[in-house]
Amino acid sequence: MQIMPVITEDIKGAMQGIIPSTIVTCDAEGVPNVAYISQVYYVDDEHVALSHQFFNKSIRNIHENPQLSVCIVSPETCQMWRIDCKYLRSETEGKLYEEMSGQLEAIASMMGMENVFKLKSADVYKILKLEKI
Amino acid sequence: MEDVILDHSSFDRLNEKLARKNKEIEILGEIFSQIRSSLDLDFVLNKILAQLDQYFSFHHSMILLLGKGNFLRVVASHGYPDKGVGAKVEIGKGIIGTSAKRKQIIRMGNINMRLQYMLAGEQVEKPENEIIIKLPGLHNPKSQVAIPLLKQDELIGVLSVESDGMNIFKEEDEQIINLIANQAAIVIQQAAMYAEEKQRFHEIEDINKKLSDLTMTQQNTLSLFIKYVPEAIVKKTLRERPDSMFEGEQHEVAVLFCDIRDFTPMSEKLTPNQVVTVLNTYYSRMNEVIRVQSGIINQFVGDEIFVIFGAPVPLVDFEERAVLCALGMIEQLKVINKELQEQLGVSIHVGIGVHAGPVVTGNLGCQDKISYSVTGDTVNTAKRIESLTKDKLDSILVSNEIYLKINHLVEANEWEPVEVKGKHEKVKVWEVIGCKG
Amino acid sequence: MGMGTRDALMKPEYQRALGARVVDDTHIVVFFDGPTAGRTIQNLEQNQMVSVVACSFSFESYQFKGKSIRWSEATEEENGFVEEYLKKFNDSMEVFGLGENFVYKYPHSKMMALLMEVTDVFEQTPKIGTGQKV
Repeated sequence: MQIMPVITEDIKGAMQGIIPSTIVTCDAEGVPNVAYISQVYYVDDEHVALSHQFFNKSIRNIHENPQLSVCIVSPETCQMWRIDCKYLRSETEGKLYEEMSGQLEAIASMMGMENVFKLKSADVYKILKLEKI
Repeated sequence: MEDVILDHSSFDRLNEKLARKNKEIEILGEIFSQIRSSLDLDFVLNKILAQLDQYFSFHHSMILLLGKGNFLRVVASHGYPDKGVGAKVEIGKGIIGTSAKRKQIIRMGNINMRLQYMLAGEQVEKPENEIIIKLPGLHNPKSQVAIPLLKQDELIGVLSVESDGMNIFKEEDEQIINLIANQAAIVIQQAAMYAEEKQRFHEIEDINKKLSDLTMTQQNTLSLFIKYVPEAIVKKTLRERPDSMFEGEQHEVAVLFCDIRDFTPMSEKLTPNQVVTVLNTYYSRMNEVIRVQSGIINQFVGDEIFVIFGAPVPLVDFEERAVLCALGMIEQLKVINKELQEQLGVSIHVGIGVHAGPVVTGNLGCQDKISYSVTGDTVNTAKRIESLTKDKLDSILVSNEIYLKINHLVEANEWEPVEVKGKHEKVKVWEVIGCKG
Repeated sequence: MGMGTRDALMKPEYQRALGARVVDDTHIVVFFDGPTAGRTIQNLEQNQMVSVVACSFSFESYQFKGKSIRWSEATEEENGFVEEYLKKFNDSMEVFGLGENFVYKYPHSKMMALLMEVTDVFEQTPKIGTGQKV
């Protein structure tokens, strides 16, 4: 029986983008790629999302191999979690996209660069496993 | 693997949560009732912010309202050394501006890091000076929530809460702030409507006051004016076209002259003040009598009263009125003299002459000084007749034209016909004694 | 600092690294906490693929891709190195106000040292075109 992972307040706290997260993807040849991202977004208890601004190696890998390993850190308790997830889809409209867009725009506009940084899509991932480190 | 473990500690945590929720509802209720208790917008907004601090430890917050153009303006703030009221945020700039633009809640922690992260990108063309656009608020906020205040779907303003701490805003914090923000939006709306009503009310009051002032002024002016110019003339003049003001008109009128006999010797017995008092008493009493008969006093010249009947307002029975007026004046004189004798030991004696005929009336003069004048032969004759009374005190002499019209009303004695300058024939005059019967 | 490995089914796995040092032009040693790296070690046993990313606070980062050669428990000297790393890391974290000794909360009970042959180094500052080979 699979017990679905429960996203606690603490874990949500780690999804605020206070402490950058790390993701690991892997291409078709099996070469792992490690990258930093500013925030993993909480969607619901079974899904998270990443923002897609620039096309990069990680995105390329996901398209070849939709498996993702993410590490998030709680800024309050310093607890780390490792999440295994699977890429589901990219959204270019809707509530999640709007929320993420808004955040991006808010920061970018502080430097007058709101036209430069645009959210290409909100990429949704299904949580397969959640592990405390 | 994170498991869901139902144990005592979990229950305790849940209970804690429930207790907290209840407390929050209580606090919110209190805040809302405070908010609703006043329509003074400034007071309410500042109260909201103070309570965000008091109950939820949100130490730095501000409310901005949509102003003219593309700007939000700070109207209330809490927890900033410089109140910052009036500071502007352009819509679309920063967290507050973006929240306003997108009408979306924006909650963000570790703002600084994100900025750095963004600036780290090299291939992107950096802004000329890497300085972040200056916005009101904490110099270096670590986390912030901006909530748009909406009325239906329209943006009214933004509520912003900032913190120096990395991340103090959780989802439930956002919910609470959102609730309060909604209340604030309603209150702002109400206050705006109230202010509008008040404004309109004041405007109407203002207009009313101006109107009544104006009316008052007009009335005063008219009253004052009437003192110098008989009401009938004023009103007629007001009705006339400006250019016709100087045109002459011809009327059939009765003319009455009333002179005080031997005024100078009498006045020498009195002080100047007394003279004026005597004259004014005389004038006002005579005026009453004249008014009753719709006579128009053309002039008070020293001790002479010059009255016309039948112009500018035409009268059918102007001859009658003139004579009745003369009789009334003599009667009134008796009353005045009684008083004057008692008070000052003097009496006034007059002579009255009345004649009727055509006259030319008009506003004589020019733009700056006009007087309503009555001229013509009739006037001269009336004056001449009046002068004949000098030998008989308090007598009324009328011309034949008058007599023919009034002899059924009054007793009169014929006098010797007299010569009048400019006339070939002698003029018949009659002395009016009193009313018949 | 982080390292990535993957299993036979191409499933990627992340493990925090607590320091690395250069051995020579083509080799580096990476340190990680053994007890929490169960799957990482399994992966390394299955295949040699490993990537390590090192990042500064200005988000300048470099990724080293290569092959794992061998790993073993860290020596005393190596542990000392890790301590140094943690200390330096901790000091610089103060700027972010994350609380004292934040870094020490990262598990580091039994450090492992992984010798890695570096085949590629990538410049990885977040921007368009990230991942250019260096």
